Amino acid sequence: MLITIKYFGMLVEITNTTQESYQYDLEDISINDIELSILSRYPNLKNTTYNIAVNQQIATKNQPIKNGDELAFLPPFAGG
Amino acid sequence: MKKHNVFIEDAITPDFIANSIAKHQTKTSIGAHDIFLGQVRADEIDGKTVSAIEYTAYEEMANLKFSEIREATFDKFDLTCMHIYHSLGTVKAGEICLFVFVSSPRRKEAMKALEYLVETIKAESPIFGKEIFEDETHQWKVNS
Repeated sequence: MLITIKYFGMLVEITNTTQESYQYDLEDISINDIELSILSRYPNLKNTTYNIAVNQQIATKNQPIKNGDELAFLPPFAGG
Repeated sequence: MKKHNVFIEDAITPDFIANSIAKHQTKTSIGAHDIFLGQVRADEIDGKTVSAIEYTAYEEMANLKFSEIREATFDKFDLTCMHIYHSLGTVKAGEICLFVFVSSPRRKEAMKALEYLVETIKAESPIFGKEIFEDETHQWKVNS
């Protein structure tokens, strides 16, 4: 399945990209699985604080993911 | 759900705010407006002064969030209308980055709604702020 991943704010300084696509061969995959693969690609993310949103909603880590979903890594909010 | 354009490029000007107030003169069931203006503070951190904040957002999610927050606020309080504007891009110290405007027949509803609205926006909207110092170094702002 094809997943889009977006990064925001300070996280972009680690990933050097705001958006990328990943192809996963597994059928059953959770946010936690994707997070682990992203952390192995960008180990410095481990030193940051973030929440993960799926399709524009803050998600829980064991939530299943389906083809075409958009995940976003969101650092602490600073509006206002 | 009605779409509202929340984001404004760079600072929100006093003229924009004044025009927004003027537009409500025809809505004569309103007896009270309450307005919150967020201004960029020239914080001093480790001997360096913040000269501007550069705002970015997860815009698709922020727009959904603002719609949800608007609906929740209308459900909770007796309001005639509500406007939310937030800057994207660079806002210098002393300039306005957030403009929240609520109107109600009665002042107490307007005042309660405004506090709820501002606190919810700050806690739940995916907006990110890069504090730029005078020497062009930066750090990332976190809402307290």
